[in-house]
Order: sequence, then structure tokens, then C-alpha cells
Amino acid sequence: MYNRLNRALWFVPALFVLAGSGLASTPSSGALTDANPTVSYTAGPFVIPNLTDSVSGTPMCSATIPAEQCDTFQLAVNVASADASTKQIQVTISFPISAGEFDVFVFDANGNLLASDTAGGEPSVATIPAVTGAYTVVVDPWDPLGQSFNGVVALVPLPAQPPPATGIPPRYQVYPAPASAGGAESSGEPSIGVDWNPNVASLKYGTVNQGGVAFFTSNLHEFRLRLDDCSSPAATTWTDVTSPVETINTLDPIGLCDHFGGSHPGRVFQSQLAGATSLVAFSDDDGNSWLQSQGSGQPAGVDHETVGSGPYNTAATPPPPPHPAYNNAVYYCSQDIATAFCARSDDGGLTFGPGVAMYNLTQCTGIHGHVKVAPDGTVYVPNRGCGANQAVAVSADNGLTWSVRPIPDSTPAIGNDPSIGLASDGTAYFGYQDGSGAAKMAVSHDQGNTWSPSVNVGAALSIAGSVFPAVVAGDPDRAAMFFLGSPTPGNFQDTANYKGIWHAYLATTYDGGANYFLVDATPTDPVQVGSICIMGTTCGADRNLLDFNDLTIDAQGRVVGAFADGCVVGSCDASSPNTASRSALGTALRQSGGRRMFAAFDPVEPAAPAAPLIGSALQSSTGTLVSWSAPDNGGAALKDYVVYRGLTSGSEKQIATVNASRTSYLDSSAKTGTYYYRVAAVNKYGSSSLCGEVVSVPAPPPQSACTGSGITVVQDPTGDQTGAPANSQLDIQWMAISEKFVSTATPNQLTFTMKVANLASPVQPNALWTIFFTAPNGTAYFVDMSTSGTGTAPVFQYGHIATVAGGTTQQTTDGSADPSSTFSADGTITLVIDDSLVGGLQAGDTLVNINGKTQLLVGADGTGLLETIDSTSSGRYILVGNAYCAGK
Amino acid sequence: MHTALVSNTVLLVAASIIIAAPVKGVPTDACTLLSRASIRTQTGEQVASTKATSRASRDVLQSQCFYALPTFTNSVSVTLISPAGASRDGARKMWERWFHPAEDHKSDGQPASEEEEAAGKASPVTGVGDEAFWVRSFVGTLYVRKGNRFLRISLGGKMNDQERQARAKALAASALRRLP
Repeated sequence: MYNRLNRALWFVPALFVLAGSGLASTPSSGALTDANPTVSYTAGPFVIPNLTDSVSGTPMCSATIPAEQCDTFQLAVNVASADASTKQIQVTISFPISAGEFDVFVFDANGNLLASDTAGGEPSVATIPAVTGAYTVVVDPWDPLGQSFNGVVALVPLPAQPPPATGIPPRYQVYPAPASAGGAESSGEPSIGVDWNPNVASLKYGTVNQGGVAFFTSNLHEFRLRLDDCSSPAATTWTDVTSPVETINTLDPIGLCDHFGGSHPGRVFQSQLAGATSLVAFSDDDGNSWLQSQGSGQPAGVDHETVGSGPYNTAATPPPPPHPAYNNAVYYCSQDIATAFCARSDDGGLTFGPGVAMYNLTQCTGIHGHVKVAPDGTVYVPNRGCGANQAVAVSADNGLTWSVRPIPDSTPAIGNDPSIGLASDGTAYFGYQDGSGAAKMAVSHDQGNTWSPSVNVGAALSIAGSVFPAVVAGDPDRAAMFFLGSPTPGNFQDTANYKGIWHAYLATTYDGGANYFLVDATPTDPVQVGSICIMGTTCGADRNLLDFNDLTIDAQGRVVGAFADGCVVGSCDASSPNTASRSALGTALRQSGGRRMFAAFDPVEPAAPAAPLIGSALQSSTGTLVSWSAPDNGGAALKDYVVYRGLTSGSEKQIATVNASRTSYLDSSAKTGTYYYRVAAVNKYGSSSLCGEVVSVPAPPPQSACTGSGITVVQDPTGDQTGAPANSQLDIQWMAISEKFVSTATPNQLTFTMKVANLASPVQPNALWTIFFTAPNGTAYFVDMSTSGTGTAPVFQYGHIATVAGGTTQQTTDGSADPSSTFSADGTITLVIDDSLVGGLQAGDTLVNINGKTQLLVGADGTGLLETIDSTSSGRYILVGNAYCAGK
Repeated sequence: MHTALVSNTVLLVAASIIIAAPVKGVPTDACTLLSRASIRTQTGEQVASTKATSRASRDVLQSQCFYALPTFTNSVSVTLISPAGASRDGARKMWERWFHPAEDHKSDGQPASEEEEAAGKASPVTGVGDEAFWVRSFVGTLYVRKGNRFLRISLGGKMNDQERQARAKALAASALRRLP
């Protein structure tokens, strides 16, 4: 989780008040613009050194203490927003006697240190992003030798970036959680791990889970993914294997699979921070059963946890003690009020040692990235803001002591944690969002003591803003960084004005970070439309994706990722308003082609494509519509699909060739009867194999907005409510919208239907059944049915969602729904509302982010505390107008 | 960090000011704060080894000691945070910022961050030091302030929150006796 201000630097402004040595700069301030890209000033001479930055990293400045003199220059920057992606501001302090030393520091208007140069030598240079704002340049005469200095502040081009990598780029496919994966519709900040060699033998056979079995952790759920590579994309099954003790409450859910070898390879961890049992649970049989770790036994008072595991450093002093219960060390790290700490477990996560402080919160921000362990046992925890840089806390003695090692050319992130990937030889790849929002990567070969120059890995596609970096590495020279990116410049947290379209990107290097491939893994399906807020609980509704994504690799070196999709197909696309992009659908991402993270598993490419994943064959009066998913192309463009048909299983013969731009075929000669179909893909290198077949089935009747319940907009798994099988009256199954024509007296009515498992008498007291939706005017509305005491009649109301101070939202009831609103014992709730009361809706308008929620009042009446029992994914609906339905 | 040669002038001036110097007479090595007997009393085990680290950051000096016990998970980590540099109140400012954030917000009008909200969940502990807080976490940590310094004590191992807090409190009392 994140805080709005860099609290570690909270008292710097106070220092400025005292700043202003008797040797003020001339001039004392300047304005930098695109038209005036250079500002110069001088100061001095200085005689008495100010050594105070040696103590704390920044100087103490006092006009009255000779040994604490500094020079302070006020800099106003007003530049085009596009400059952030092409330029930077460089502050250069030069002086005649190079044996002297002037340290330079640049602070923003809030007193946050943005950049510094304390390395000595002449000149001193600090660079900051080219962003409009007020800044303060402080020069500390550390060893002035009686000199004056010249300061030059200049708007300069960003350093040249290495050219993109050449060759066949890696390719990826995405796997959104199916509707049957109850709870996956709320998957902000997911984790993913892979058991490389499944402990349950039946999970790996043939083409199934050859790279291992994957685990997707989010919210209260742990899903096990079965991936069958017979086809491409792989046929996927999501199975909920959540630990029973992890279903109580959630905050910062973390999942992990320890795929290092040893006594218990493939141990799967699931962790929740908040709730009555803040704890870690783990499984040695791929989620079939779980053991509970020590936990705190109490609600946790701290924030942002991470769990990691890996080998011990056997060369450490002191050496690790015997650890017969588990071969690897398990680390639990978290923010802790004034420090951030890590605790080590020697028994595989069953019990943990004391929490050792990694740093205090004046040194680095308390919130940190995910802990990872290198094959040599070195432990790394990345941090987005340690003074003027991002950094990594490193322990080389199995977590007993820690040191903070900065990435010298980095700037503190806007708000996201960095991520570290550790290669088989210990090479560290540090991926991060820099102060301008750019996605960057730096490489270290000496446990973080020194770093290569950072590379802007998003530059090839002009990515201006990035969030949620996640890094993984394999062979020493191979690493991949996953992030969400947008090429639209500007403040991507500006809810009202930012219009960027976000996609999932992967930057991959096969040469140790010299060059990167940059691939858009979701080219036709945005992950988010509009703003993404990364400022924690102070955010509004655009924090739907929460705080991070995750990336790992499988046993065969495929990159495997996890993210929450904020813009779900069916309810949102690139043309949708920002308010349509408020989902968080759990989605896995997996490499489908190209070189792997382990060269030993590199496919020979280019090659024939993989076999398509065949979908359905729906028969109607016009024929049988066969559909499939586009496969990995083998590294060469697809040319065609070949469709095969047979009257019996396995007897299919070729009947058609379809251009590769289509993934369906209408077999107009198959209007009746039973047919079997198979599909192959073709590129210049040959035809794919065939995988599976599909048999024709009758197409479902089309729905109409004018009849019955209308158009189904959301479906939700049965039995996924909290406390199931109890609370069945709050188990949402589906929601629909209709616009039946009633009479000319009621020409503009919208009818919402929510179907729950049942509403048999007595109806659940103190409960709320709500349907939310966003109208074209951008306002989120709701209609609901509520009950109070047992036996009282339900009440039907409508209202809107208001944003109140601090960015939080509030549900405000505006009045009663139409009197025709009702419910029935079979669980059907009908909520009727006049269009004029919810945004003045008209035919052609689109309702977006339609979703449902059921809640129970917790505690005594009047407390207002509501516990969510079930919630749904979101859908959308285009109004046809009641008049259209007249006579239908 | 700094590579320039320090001139004689610099050395003279440096001698006249205090840079990262701890308060005179106050122990800053956290490995001297707990006796082997006190640890044995609270954990039932002899200290197998100690490992110290220290670092200066801004205007505080942080000394940390890992008291390793034969049963590793029962080990103890102690951190002493002291003022350093000229201001003399760096550690106290840090304490106030993290354990009394509400007062800050009364003046700056900013909504509380999640970190500060978390700080608000620390439980006051009486009977040790000038002020103390128990921070519930996966392992549980006791913070104890005495004057312008404070201690952080964390105990590992599987025990309930009350027991862990009681043992940490006893160890803190023992450590404070070694601070003037």
C-alpha cells in the first residue's frame, strides 16, 4: 500500500526555512521553460566546509552556523507535458579547482529529494524529470577550497537508449478467469507461482502442465491453473483450492510457490495480512490440503507483506543452523511503523524468527516490493524510494543483517514498488517505474553494489506512463519485465482528464540487459482505460487494480504473469469512458512462443504454428458456426485456418480454408444433424497439428430486451457467496436488463433483474441486494432491495454514488424505485426505475460497469457496517428504448 | 561517497563539529544492551552468537543486534535508534512522526496515509520506558522510548501475542537499565 507523501523526507522543508547562507546565489531564482531552456547562476566564494550530508544523506543548512552553510536556488519549471518522455532537467555545478567538492541536491515543492550528486569530482550533476513544478536546488560546499561555483540548469534530451533487440520476439497469450472461478472478478494485486514439478503426480501428464502447475492468488482465493498445451492458447481450468483459514478476511494477499529443490519442492504459500488470523498457510500437495503457519493470532497493525523463499547462503557468517524440516529459507517481510523488517523461517514457514529491521523509515519508504532469494542465498527486497534513488535491501547472511544499495541513476517512483528478478548466477535485474513514470531496468552482477545504467524499456513503443513493474530472470543473460503501460503522456492519476489506454507489456532481454524486446501482450484488449491511481487508500474508484502485478517462470522457462484486468471485454473497450474501466478480473499471462528464460528450452523458430484451441460449433437455421482461438504463430505470420468436418468423431475431412484474419467459420451446409469439427492453422512453414474436436450443438435462443428478463448482462457462479452453503439468499446467479413496453403512460422504464439462489420466506433480514451501473453522464447509480428486521417487507430504492472528501465514495439514496418493483420466492428481484431518475437515459445510451453486490448488516442496527456476501463481475447494456419494444 | 581529499581546514572544522557522533556516554552497540542472563530468562536458551550492524541515516544512528539462539526461531532482534549529528532530536522526531501521526495531520490537513493509519493501530504499553507501543505483526514488535532514544525489540517463535509482548517488555526493561 502507498502513502501520498514521501514521509521519509517530511522535515526537509523545515530545513529550507533555515537555509540561505550568507552567500546566496546570484540570481537567487530562475525560470526554466521550453523557450528558455537554460538558467545559470553563481554563488560563493565558500570557505568553510559543510560536512553534514555525510551523516544523513542530505545537508543541514543554517544561515547562522558557519559549518552548515548551503546555497539555495529556487527553480520554477514550466514545460510541455510531452517533455517528460523526451527530455530531462540537468543541474550542473562546476568550479575551477577540481580537487574541491560541491554536492548538489534537488528537492520538489514538498521537500522530497529528487536527485543528488555527492560522489565528488567536478562537475557535480543531478538530473530530474522534465516536469512542470517548483524545485529547490541546494548546493553543499563539502570541500569548497575557497571557491565559488557556477550553476547551470538546462533542459536537455534524455540519453540515447540502446536499440531494441532484433530477431523473433517472444509472444504471449492471456487467460482471463472464467465465470466459474468465483471471486476472481475481484483480483486486484494478484500473485502467481508455479510448482515446477507437481507434487501431485496426476497434475502433470501428456501435454498437461509440462512447465508445472500454476497458482493464482488474489483476494480471498487461491486458484490452481491446469494448462493443457495440446492447443494454443492452452486449454485452461481454474480450480479454487483456497486454504480454509485464508477465507476470512483479506489485505495484501500474497501467493508464492517455492520451486527450488529440496526436501519439500513445490510448497505453495498463501498469505493474508488482515483479519482475525493474520497468517500464512502452505500446502505440499498443490493445494489439496493446507497447514497453518504461526501467524500473529491478532489483527495486524502493519501493512504490506511479502513472502519469499530460496536457498540458504551456506558461506554466511554465522552459517545457517541445521534445518532438517525444510531445505530452504522462507522470509516474511513487512512494513512495521518505524522500520521495515524481515523474519526468517527454518521450518518451511511453520514458525518464524524475530523481525529484523531492514531500514528505518527516514532512510527508505516503509512500503517495499516483493522479497526474492537468489540461488546463492542472497536475499533482496526492492524499495521505490531511498533518498534520491530507488534501492534494494540486501542480506548476504540469511536475513540477520541488511544493507541498502541504491540504483544510482534511478529516481524515486511515482508510487509503485520496484521488482527484482534473480538469474541462475545471481545476476540481479531491477525493474522500476521512475519518477517520470517511465519503465526502466538496471542490472547488477555484484549483489546490488553497482548497477548498469538504467534502460528505458518502454521507449521502443513510446510508453510514457507505466505501473506495476514485475521482473523475473532465468539464465544469467535473460530477464523479463512485465508492466502496464500507456503511450499517453501526462499525469496518469488525473481521474478527470487522463485519457490514456493501458496495455500489458513485456520487455525481455536475452543479452544481459543490453537490448530489449518490447511486446504488447494485449494489443486488442486494453487492461485499463483512463486513469490508474496508485496512491493507496486515498484513491477514488480508479484504484480498481490495487497495487501490483506478478511475474514468474515455469520449469521450461516460460514467462507466466498475473494481473487484474480493469477493462473487461463485454463491458469495456478502448472507446469506453473511464468509468467503464473499474473491473479487476483475474487474468493470467503466459509465454506462448519465442525464446524462453532458459535457453535449454528454446523452441526452434520460425516453425509451423501451434494447434488452435477449438471453441464451439453452434447450429441454427443458417448452419453451424464453428469458432476457435488464434494460436501462437510459431514466429511467422499465420496465413490460413483449415476446417475439418466429419459425421463421426475422428472422421473429419477438410471442408474449408479460412483467412487467418478470422477465427470462425459458418458451415452453411450443416443446418441439421450432428457434425464433428477440427481446425488447423497454417503459416509459411507448415500446418499445425490438430488438437481436439468439437461437436455441433443447438445454438441458444437469442435474448431480447423486450421479453422476459431481457438481456443477461452478468453471470455469477452459484455457491460462491461468503459462508456458502449458508447465505444462499445472497448468492447472486445472474443479472439482466429489460425495456418491456408497458404503456404510453410509462414510456421510459428500465427493469433490472437480479437472480439469487432463493428468497423463500422469511427473507433474510438486515440485508441489501444492489445493482450498480454507470450512466453516460459519468455518474454511478444503483438500485437496490433492502430488508431491516425479520418479517418486515423489503424496500426498493435507487440512488447514486458520490465522491466525498479524501477521494472516498459514498452511496446516497435518492428515492424509492417504481412501485412495480418486486421479488419472488424463487430468488428473482425485479427493480424498476424511470430512466429520468438515473441520468436521463435514452435509446442508444450505454450503461457500463453494471455489477451486483449483496451485503449483510454487521452488528447492531444503525452501525452502518456492511459485510459483502457476494459480488459479481461487470457487464454493459445498450438501451433500445421502451418504444422499440412496443408490440414485441 | 566522497572521494575528494579533505584539506587541513576541513579536518580542523570537522574536529569542531559533531558528525554522526552518538551522545557521549550512551552505548550505541545494541549487542551490549541485553545480557545473556536476561535472554536466557525470557527464552530459556543460551545465546549462541550475536551479530551487530549499525548505520547512520539522516540524523539518527541505528544499531541493531541479532541475538541468535540454538533454536533459531526463538532468536531476538534488538534495535537502538539514537540521535546523531547536531540536531540531537532525530530519533525523537521519528518516534513522534510514527506513533503520534494524528497530531501531524491536525496541522497539515492531509489525509492519513496507509502507513500512518497502520501506526495508529499500535497499542500503548505501560510500565516500561517513557512511552511504549506494541505493534502487532506477523512476529510482533515492541517499541520503547526513553528520552530521545528508542528501542525496537522483536522475538521470534510460536507463542501467543500476550506472551510475546510480556517477554519483549521484560527484555526492554533489562535493556533500558543499561541506558542512562
